[in-house]
Amino acid sequence: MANDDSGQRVLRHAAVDRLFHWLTALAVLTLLVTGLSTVLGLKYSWVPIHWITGVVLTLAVLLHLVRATFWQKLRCMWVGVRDFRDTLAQRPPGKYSLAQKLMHHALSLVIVTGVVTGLCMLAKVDTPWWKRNPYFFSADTWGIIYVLHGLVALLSITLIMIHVYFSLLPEKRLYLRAMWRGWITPAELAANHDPKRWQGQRGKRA
Amino acid sequence: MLEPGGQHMELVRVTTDAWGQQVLEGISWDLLPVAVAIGAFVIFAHAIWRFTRKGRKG
Repeated sequence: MANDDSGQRVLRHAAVDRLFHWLTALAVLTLLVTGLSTVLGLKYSWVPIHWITGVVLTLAVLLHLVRATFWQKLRCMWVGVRDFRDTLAQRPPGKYSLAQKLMHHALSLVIVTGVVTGLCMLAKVDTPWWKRNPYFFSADTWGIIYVLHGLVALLSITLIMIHVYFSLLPEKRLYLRAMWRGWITPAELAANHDPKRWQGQRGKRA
Repeated sequence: MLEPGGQHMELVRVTTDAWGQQVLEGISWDLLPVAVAIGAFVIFAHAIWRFTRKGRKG
C-alpha cells in the first residue's frame, strides 16, 4: 500500500489501540475455535485455554474502556442523527463512518455480553484462586447465562465475517493499513473524511 | 422455528434435571449454519450492490 503524499502521514490509530484491536481479534478467534470445536466433535482439554483467553480478553476490554473514557474522544464514536443524514447525503464523516461506528458498537455489545456471561461461568471452573461451584446460580439462571454465551458465539461469527469482508474491500484498505501501521495519508483523509470533524469536533455542515 | 423441509429447528437446547424438570441448557447449535448463512448473505448482497453501482458509474 503506497504512501503517495511524500511521506506525510495522519495518525488514525495509536500503537496501543492497534495492539488492543489485534489482541481482541486473536482472543475472540481463540475463544470461538476452542468453544465451538467441541460442538464440531473435537475432544481435547479446551476449557483451560478458553477461560484463560477469556480473562485476557476481559483485561483488554477493561483497559480499552478506561483509555476510551479518559484518553480518547468519545464523541468520535457517538452515533447521532447527523451520522444518518450525512450517510444518506453522501457527505464525508468525521474520523469514523456510520458503518464503522455501528460495527464497533455491535461487536462491543456482543463482546461485553460474552465477557460478563463468561465471568459468571468461571464459577463452574476450577482455577488457582477458587474451586468450582456449580450451585453459584440457580439452574434457570445458568440456562440464561449459557444461552446468552452461545448467542454471543453465533453473533460473533456473523459480525466477524462482515467485518473481515469490509476490511478487505479495495476502497477500504486504507483502514486496514491504518489498523496495522497506524496512519492514513493526507490525500486519503481529504478524500474520505471531513478533516474539521476528525478529532470529534462538531464542525459546520456543508 | 420451522425449517424449509417442514422439520422444526430448535432455538435453545433443553434438558431434564434430576427432579424431572425441564431446564435451559444453552443455545441450539442448529443455529450455527444460520449464523454463517446470515454473514454470507450480507456479504453477497453488498458485493452485488457494489458491482451494480460500479457498473452504473461506468
